[in-house]
Amino acid sequence: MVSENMDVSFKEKSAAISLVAVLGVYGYYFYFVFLGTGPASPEEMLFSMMALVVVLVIVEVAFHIVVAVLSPREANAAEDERERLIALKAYRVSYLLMSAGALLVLGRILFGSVVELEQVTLRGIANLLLFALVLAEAGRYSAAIYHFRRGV
Amino acid sequence: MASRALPIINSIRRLRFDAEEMTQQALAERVGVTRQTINAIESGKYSPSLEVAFRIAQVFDVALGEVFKYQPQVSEEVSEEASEQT
Repeated sequence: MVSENMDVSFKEKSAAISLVAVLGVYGYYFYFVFLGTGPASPEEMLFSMMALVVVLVIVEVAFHIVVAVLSPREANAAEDERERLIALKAYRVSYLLMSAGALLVLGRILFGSVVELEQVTLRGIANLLLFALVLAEAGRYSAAIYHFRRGV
Repeated sequence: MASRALPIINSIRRLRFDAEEMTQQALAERVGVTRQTINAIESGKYSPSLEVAFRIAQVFDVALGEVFKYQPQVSEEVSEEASEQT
């Protein structure tokens, strides 16, 4: 018999799946960006981003189906007040990270263009924005898992 | 890292035991929350809304004060013990 204290809800499993998927898929992309071998043109970047979204959706849907099949009752259950509160707290973390990211991008555009004009490219800005978005999403899922584990 | 101790203690575990060992799942279904939320309330990791608290008391047919008690000093003692251990 599984101990009641060892319970992991569907929402927590979902957050864990999404965290791993986001980090895995975008980690793969940024690995090449930081190596300097990422997309070289806006067209390549657009294609990469669309491909990443498709891969992310496939990975998330596949794993969520597996988890839902293993615990169908929990997967179909409506979100309760604790889960809603956790989601709100997680979104707060996400908002703060996204705001910090937006400020960094703004700083990069305003100050970077003054200090090193040739370094500020639209591709660079797009990658920074995407990085901030990924960080915000990862922060949201991490915060949700934290509150599921440690309490609200 | 210790869990943050809440100033509200509860008797849900005992009440479930007295109600012919009602499971957390059964209580959760009657209250309208997930089993994990009942577990979190029982273990002091989550303070439910007033509505859910009343629903829990209604399931056991007892007064709200019999299910939940506000004891801030317990919380502080637990916190102190936790910080001494870490």
